Amino acid sequence: MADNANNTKIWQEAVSATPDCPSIEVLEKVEAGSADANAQHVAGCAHCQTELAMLRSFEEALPLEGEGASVAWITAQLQRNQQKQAAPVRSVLAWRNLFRIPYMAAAAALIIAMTLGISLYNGSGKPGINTHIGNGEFRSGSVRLSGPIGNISGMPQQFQWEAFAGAVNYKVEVMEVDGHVDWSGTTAQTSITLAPEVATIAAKPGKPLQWKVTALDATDKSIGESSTERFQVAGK
Amino acid sequence: MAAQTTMAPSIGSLRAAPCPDRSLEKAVGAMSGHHPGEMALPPARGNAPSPEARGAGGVGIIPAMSWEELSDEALIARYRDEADKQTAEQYVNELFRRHHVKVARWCLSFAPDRESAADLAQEICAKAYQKLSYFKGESKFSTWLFSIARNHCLNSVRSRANAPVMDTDEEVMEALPDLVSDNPQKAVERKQLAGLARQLINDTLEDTEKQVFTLHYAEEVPLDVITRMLKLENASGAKAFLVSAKRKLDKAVKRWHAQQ
Repeated sequence: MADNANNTKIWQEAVSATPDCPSIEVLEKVEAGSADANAQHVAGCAHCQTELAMLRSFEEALPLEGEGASVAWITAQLQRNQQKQAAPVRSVLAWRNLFRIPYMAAAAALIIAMTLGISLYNGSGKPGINTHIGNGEFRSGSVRLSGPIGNISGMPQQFQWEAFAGAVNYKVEVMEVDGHVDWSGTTAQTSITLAPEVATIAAKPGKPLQWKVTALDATDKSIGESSTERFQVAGK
Repeated sequence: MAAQTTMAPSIGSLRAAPCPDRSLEKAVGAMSGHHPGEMALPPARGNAPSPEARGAGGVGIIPAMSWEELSDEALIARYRDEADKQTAEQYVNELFRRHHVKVARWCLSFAPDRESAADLAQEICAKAYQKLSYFKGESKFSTWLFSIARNHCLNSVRSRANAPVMDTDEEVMEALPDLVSDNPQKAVERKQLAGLARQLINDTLEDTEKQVFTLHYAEEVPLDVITRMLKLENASGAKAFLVSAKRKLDKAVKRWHAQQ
């Protein structure tokens, strides 16, 4: 068994990078014919040739048959996310610019002062924000997680949370404590089962993980998010 | 994989940019000797015109130039030099827009579905944007972006714990050719054996077999991902190349043992 493991490691080492393997920047130049000093090594190195093959694959970007629609969908998502990120910046800048005009700033201050004055005069001491909707349920901007939370006795079978008003889908993320995402899934339900390979990680006693849920509307826009909750299988 | 918050700003205002007057651009290009692709953009608000914009003889005729005609590196340079944040964002927006298809297609190779691929792509673009200050121009921008995409996707695949040992296909699970046992001297260092293995791989295998073998054993990439990444169109995809590689190496190792 030890020999077999050793044998595998030898073959792995044979195709892994060595100190002689140049960086991807140099490989790009070798491909372009302008780094002859490294050309001989690259010609005899499976690792370097594989790196170049991957680079060519990335650069060509030709979708396989049937992938075209998915590629288009993904690029549309990327474009949409760019626009979402920029919109708050532009609106903040616009408002900031407005208040650079002195009389506008003074007028705004006066309006705010008058509003506060009127509400204090009329108010009964209770906050004027109506948080009750329809049937009286209290709603906040947060998705509420049900579990797993904290120490749990065994591998989590399902992740569950409360329904969030207006949500069409929910995105679930399971992360390391440093925020690195191990797994992400989307569902229209209020529970999800972990993929087996991640459930195995989560089942390790004493290993802390955290998770959160984002509520999405029909356009995949985030409309609410949960807090990030930590959990771990209790150690033996 | 989750989508992280992207830092890349909107391209909405980019699309609203006015179209350039091409006839004027050609005339100025002929006058100054500059290639149209090297013309300066109209100066941003609050910025002085760049030297190219002033043209030969200091004439201030600046043809508006389309974003598409600037190289990636030129866009990055302008992004870094631009004082106005909104204009700067337009440059970097265009830069990333150009490579969305590459990143999307690359991520689709690694992800089980388009939603996961989109998450991966989003994370890659966000990382690249955050690290843009580290791009030194030692390679093309697309090569630099590739290195980020490569590492991110390979890490995501490894974190799914889909190592070769978990393959259930018998042909794939066949042990690698044995270099260790039957080694009469036993004192041969592992490093030397790895060097021998490297030589055998290089001498025995075809290019695609080398690539599949390397990706599967060095980078722990699942065979279905390798098939999509390398766009293998044969019936069994990467599996066929891996099985073929192992058989060839097995024969090569036996020949080597026989010569010892």
